[in-house]
This record gives sequence, structure tokens and C-alpha cells, in this order.
Amino acid sequence: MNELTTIILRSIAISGTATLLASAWSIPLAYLLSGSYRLRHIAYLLEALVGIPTVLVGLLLYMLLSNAGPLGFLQLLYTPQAIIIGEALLITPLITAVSYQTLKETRTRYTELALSLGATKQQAARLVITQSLPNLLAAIVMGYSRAIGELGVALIVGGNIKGLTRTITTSIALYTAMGEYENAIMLGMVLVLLTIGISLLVRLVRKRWDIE
Amino acid sequence: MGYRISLDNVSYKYPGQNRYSVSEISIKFNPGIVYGLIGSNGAGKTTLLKIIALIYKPNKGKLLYNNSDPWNNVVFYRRSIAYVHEKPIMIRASVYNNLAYPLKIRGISKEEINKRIDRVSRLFGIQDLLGKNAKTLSTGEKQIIGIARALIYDPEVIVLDEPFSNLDYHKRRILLDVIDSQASQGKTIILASHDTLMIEKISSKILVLENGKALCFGPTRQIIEKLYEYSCNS
Repeated sequence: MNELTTIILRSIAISGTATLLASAWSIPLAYLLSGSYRLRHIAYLLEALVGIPTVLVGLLLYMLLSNAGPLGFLQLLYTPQAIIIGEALLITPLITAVSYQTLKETRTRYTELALSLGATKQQAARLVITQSLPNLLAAIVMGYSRAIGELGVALIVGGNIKGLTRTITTSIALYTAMGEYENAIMLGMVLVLLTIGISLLVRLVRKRWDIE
Repeated sequence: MGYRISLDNVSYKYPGQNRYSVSEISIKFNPGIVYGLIGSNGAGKTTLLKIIALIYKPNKGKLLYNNSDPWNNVVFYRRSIAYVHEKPIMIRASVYNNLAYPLKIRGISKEEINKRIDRVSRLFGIQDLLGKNAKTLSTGEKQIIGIARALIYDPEVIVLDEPFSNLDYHKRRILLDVIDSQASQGKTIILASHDTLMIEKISSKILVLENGKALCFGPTRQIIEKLYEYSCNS
């Protein structure tokens, strides 16, 4: 397998794991926030953090994970795990905010429907989630697209180490700096194709679920 | 047999609002009688129906089902209430699965589910719709599916919000017959509507709401006359 293929596969794996991790806490958090009037300010805060600069997340995580930092003993700096954690943190506000908007809209309606038909709270929650799945999936994909396309976190806490933490975006930055524009453009196109491909796939799935 | 439902000074306000949407309502609903609920937009009809259907818990006052507090065993009581929303909400699934949902959550067998769906779809004339995607139906079709879905589990209390609004003449006739038949079986039936003619036709007693308060309550004929004479007082 050549180096470019390895970089592409590594990027997909790192961003995919980060997205799964972020979804695992963001969607339950969004569900919790959508059901509480008092907690709505947390949702507003997360909405405001959707566009947080990736370099800032990278910098904060660097300070935490560096040897002098409070989590330095974990020895995670310049590993794929550090990028996964950073990207997961980066996309948490995005997935939570989009899921929150979806769940806020569907929760009242479907919870009332389920309860009026005799459902328990758990059965009502299950109905809300299943009815919101197409839009939750869209939120997850938006998170994935942001994760795979970000540079700041991957560069600062990943270190762009060949064969270990080099991703599509850090490679593009490197190839551009080295004047190897052909490779940079090729990886750029792969990045665009990945984003468009996933978006189309989700569109198909959503259509099948009859949301449109 | 339906429940005797009593409200004693019941009030409710939505989270984040200062004003009570329903304020100090005291009334008793007896089984075997059809009650009509009328009032202008924003009078509190839907909120009151949702309180009766145990979807909203009153902030103040007491709600009793046969002298018991239904909120102590709310799932049990909810399972004997049919509440149909003004704007029908369909589950993203076929009509068959929409009708099956309340039965599935009660753990009823597939055989029994099929039997009940067959019975209710014949009653409402919706056999042709069973395989269709519920989201693609017309508003009138959704309305009748919503009513069929609520009646499929043979509830003791039937609460309908604007049940006639989207129905054609034929479906209205069917619904009137169903309501009559349910009342004669001793069910407690409460329905809200803007359609005073339908309310006059179907209900024995009427409650008039205004700004969340009970304006007047009594036998249908008497209340309708009072309304025409603008002399309705609580």
C-alpha cells in the first residue's frame, strides 16, 4: 500500500472513531437538553461553540497532554489517540447543537403522542429517537465532515509524524510547503470526494426514511 | 365503564410563561356522557384536554379519576385514555404500523393485533390505506387514522381535540356513530371543537372556556341559548 493510500485510510479511521466517540456523548446530551427548559442555556452555549477554531482546541489539548500538563502522564501527545480526542471535542458542539435542534422539534410531538397512546417514558424516548434518526444521522455526518477536514488539532497534537499521525489535511499542508502541489491537489480532491460521497449517501438513506 | 373525572381548581402554565393557560377549573365529567368543550382560539381547550388526558400535570389544584390521583400510577391510567391531537401526528411508518403501535407497547400478540386492526379498519373504512406510508396521507386521512389508532385499544376515556375539522361528510357520520356507540357503552367522552353545530349535535353537556377560565357549564341546549344571548356566566 502506498503512502497516500495509508494517509487516506488513517484519516478516515481517525475521524470515524472521533465521530463515533463524539456521537456517543453528544446525542444523549442533546436528548437531555431538549427535555429541560432550565438546561437550554447549555444548548445555547454549545451552539455558540460550533465554530470554535480548530487551532484553539489543538492548543488547549496540547497544554493538557504535554509532559508538563495535567494529563501528560498519559503519554498521548503525538499519537493518533490524541487526534481522536481532539477531533471528538471539536465536533461535540456541532453534533450536540444540530441534534438538539432536531430533538427539540420532534421530542414534544412524539413524546406527547407516545404518552397519549399509553407508552412508558422509556418507550416514548425510543419513539423520539427512532423518529429523529434521519436528522440525527445528518448531524453525525456533519460532525464527520468537520473532523476529517480539520487541520489545527491534527497538526498540533498529532505532530504530522510520517507513518503514525499524518492525515490528509496535515499532508496537504506539508506537500504545499514542500512545493509538491500534485500530491496536495490529489489529496484535496480525495477530501472533497469523501465529503460529497458521505453527504450523498446520507441523502439516499434519508430519502429511504422518507424525510424529504 | 369509563372513569368519573373531577377537576378541583386546576391550573396549568407552560414552562417559562407567567400566565396560566388554564386557570382554576373545577368540573366533573361522568361516564356515559359526551361533553363538548368550546371557546375561542387560545381559550385553553387543548391545554385542558391534555391535563385530562394526563399529558400535562396541573401546577395547582386536584385532578381525580374515580376519586384516585391518576398521577400515582400514570401509565396505568394513560393506557385507558384515548387522546387524539388536533393536528394528527403520524409515526414515520405504514398505516398498519401506526395502528399497531399502541398495541405493541402493551405487549399484545401479533394475532390479536391483526384482529383488532382488521376490525377498526373496517369500522372506519380505511382497509385500502393499511399498506400506505402514513406521512403521505391527506390531513383528513391522517385524522381518521389518528382516531382509529386511539380507539384500537378500547379506552375507557376518550378525549378528542377538533376531531371533525378535517373530515368529509361520510367520515363525520362514521365518527358520530362511533362516539354515540362508545358513550352508550359507558365511556367518558370529552371533545373540543370550533364547530358548534357538531358539538350541539353530539354532546349532552358543554363547557365554555375563555382566557383559560370556565365561563359556563351545563346542558347543551341551555348553554347554546345562553351563548346566543351573550349571557353566559360562570
